[in-house]
Amino acid sequence: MNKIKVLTPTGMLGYGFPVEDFNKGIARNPDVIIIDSGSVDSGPIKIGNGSMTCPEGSYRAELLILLKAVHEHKIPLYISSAGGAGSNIQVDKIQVMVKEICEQQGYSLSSASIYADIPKEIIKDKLIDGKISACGRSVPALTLLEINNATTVVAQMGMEPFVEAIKNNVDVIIAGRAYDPAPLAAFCINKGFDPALSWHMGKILECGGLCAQPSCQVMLGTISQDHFTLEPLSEQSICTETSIAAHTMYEKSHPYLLPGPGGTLDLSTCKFEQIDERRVKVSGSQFNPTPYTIKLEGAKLVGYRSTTIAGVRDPNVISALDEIEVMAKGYALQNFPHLKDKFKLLFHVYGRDGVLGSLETDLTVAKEVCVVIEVLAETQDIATQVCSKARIALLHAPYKGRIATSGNCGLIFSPLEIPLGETYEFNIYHLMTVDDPCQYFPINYHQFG
Amino acid sequence: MTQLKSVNLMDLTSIIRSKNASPFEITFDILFKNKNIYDEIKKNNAINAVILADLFCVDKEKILDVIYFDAANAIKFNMPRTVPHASFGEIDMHSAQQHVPLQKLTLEMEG
Repeated sequence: MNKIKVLTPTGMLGYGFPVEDFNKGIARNPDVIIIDSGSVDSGPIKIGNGSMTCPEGSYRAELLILLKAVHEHKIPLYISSAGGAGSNIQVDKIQVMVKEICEQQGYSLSSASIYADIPKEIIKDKLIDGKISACGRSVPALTLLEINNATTVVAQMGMEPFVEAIKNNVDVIIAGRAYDPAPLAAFCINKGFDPALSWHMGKILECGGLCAQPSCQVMLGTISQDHFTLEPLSEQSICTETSIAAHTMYEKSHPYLLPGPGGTLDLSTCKFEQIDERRVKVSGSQFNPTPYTIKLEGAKLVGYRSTTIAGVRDPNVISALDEIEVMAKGYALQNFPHLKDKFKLLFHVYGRDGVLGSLETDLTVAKEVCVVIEVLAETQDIATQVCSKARIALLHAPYKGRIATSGNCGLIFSPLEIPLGETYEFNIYHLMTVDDPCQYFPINYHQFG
Repeated sequence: MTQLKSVNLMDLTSIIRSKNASPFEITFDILFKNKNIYDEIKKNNAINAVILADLFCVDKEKILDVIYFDAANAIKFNMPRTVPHASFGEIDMHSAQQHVPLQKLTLEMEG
């Protein structure tokens, strides 16, 4: 095999892609379809309680298109970090959708589900053995207490569990949490291609067409012995040396050293070359093996949130918002003295410093602002009660110099307070040294349809 | 003596952006329009932790590193997140808007 063609329909299963571009990709006879489904970007709640990044209907609509291609063209489909966090419960949810679509459509497909939840007892033993370290200098050291506090912990698998499933010739892989480039690297390295190029192509394509200019969804990557090429399948988009170089360093803390399970990708000597109007060739990537670690990701429940959204146009109110925020906290405490130190309350003021917060250096304030009240408390009921008192204060507080006495803000929703449900925090983001890359990632095989 | 002129960073770059790099850090990318501009910036170390700390009004220790990447004519630097990702007080889930102060940076460039 001289070349491998990899089709990535979109950077995130559930985010959507143009079917015509996907069909153009299928017409190019790709060897595999690879689609990432996870990210920590959408918050710790995905690990915490298994809720998914996208609505179930979005997953089903896209799986219907993807599985049709698997069935009709015998191209394998690999999904990684299923459902958002890639926890076991999310792998199972995606697996049920795949199974039901196969049954409804009359497709007969073999499948492997790879799980990535790590039992807490294993993590505790590893911590005691000194096999766990913080992943990055901004991460606090791990403690037994925090392991206990986590509701769920997943680990990013490397390429080895994928290779294991690939060797069993399955049509579909539904993997739990995985290092983003791992399924693509596994497919290419298993076919004998250069590990550095395989990892690098995986790193770029895991985001779909985000590397194109302008960004699009469907991408085709072609790897050969000493380079790979990237091509967007949207006619409106092209790849440029800059767009590919930019994506190489996207959302990583180092621009050219990318550590992963089993090794570090070194891109300090790589070359990006425009080969025609729409394609870029990449070469010169290097891969240096390191002791094998897997990244743990865990989250803990910290309470429940409620919110109120209000608009303010009166300049007298806008300039008094800090005073009103203090009054709102005071009013909540006056009514609930027993809740002292039991809740957190904050005004986000959009139009002033809502987006940059303490990093805002421009002191300009807009003629109208949006106030979002955020309350966190032990229970949903308490959060909503405190939010209600804060909303009443925002609406009616007699701030200094007030002359418009019927109300301080314009509200848009009834109910006036909106319960937001559980709030989670990441409390585990650590590297765990392992001897066997496959040990903690069990695989279940199925035949659907 | 080479005559220097003040140029806004926006006129020297094709990409200025910020993004989460883990739930605890924000990473900032600056990609220059061409190698000549990048080389001059790199030669003079014109973008460094002191200048960035001053621009963002943070302590120098908050600028975790400033790394030049020749293959992309780019600079990357990192800062800790002001709150951990999606915790109480979150204001930018993806840290995708935190780059804005960079748009005001003015540099002294040759020719």
